[in-house]
Amino acid sequence: MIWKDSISFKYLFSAGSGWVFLKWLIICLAGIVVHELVHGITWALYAKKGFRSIKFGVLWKYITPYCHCKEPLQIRHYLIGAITPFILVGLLPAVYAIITGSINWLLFGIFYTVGAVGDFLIIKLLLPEKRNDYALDHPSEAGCYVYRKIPA
Amino acid sequence: MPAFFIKIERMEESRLNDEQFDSGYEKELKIIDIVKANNIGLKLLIPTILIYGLPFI
Repeated sequence: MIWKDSISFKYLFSAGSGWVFLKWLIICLAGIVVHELVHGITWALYAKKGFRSIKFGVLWKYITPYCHCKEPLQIRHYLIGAITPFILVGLLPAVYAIITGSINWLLFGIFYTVGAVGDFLIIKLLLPEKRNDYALDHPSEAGCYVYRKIPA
Repeated sequence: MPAFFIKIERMEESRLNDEQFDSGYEKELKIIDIVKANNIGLKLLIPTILIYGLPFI
């Protein structure tokens, strides 16, 4: 075990006060906001109207926050925007945790990697599409309309 | 907002979006089931913990 001192049950439960729980709750909620913000920032980079085309909200039916891009994006750009939150909010904290031996960052990375499953499923749906075609984010469902250029 | 108005707003939004494309495009809806995605997320929790936790073992 590389970081055996930081991953013991003693460590996890010794810090188990209400304040630590509250701190984790705040960090998790902030992470959700950051995840959606990263979607928005990345898509805004490729959208003609920039951030004016980005809308944030919550699907209360599923208690799921969302980021919606109102204008069509090339599928390559849509895919970049879909994967970036996993890389920045899920993978990088996990890599940082492995390097530093931080159990807190490891839990954060695990939480937001699993939280990106919806994005992975959308990416899987779009992978067979041509990168130059367009994806228009659906305003109320998790997914998009794909617009394929009909060969002349 | 009543559901009726939400529906009209979404229809208008959809029509507006369609206008951004000429007739040279075919359109297909690709959506995922959020409940299914959440279930897959739960199933992936243990493998993710194992993969990320491997260097700690």
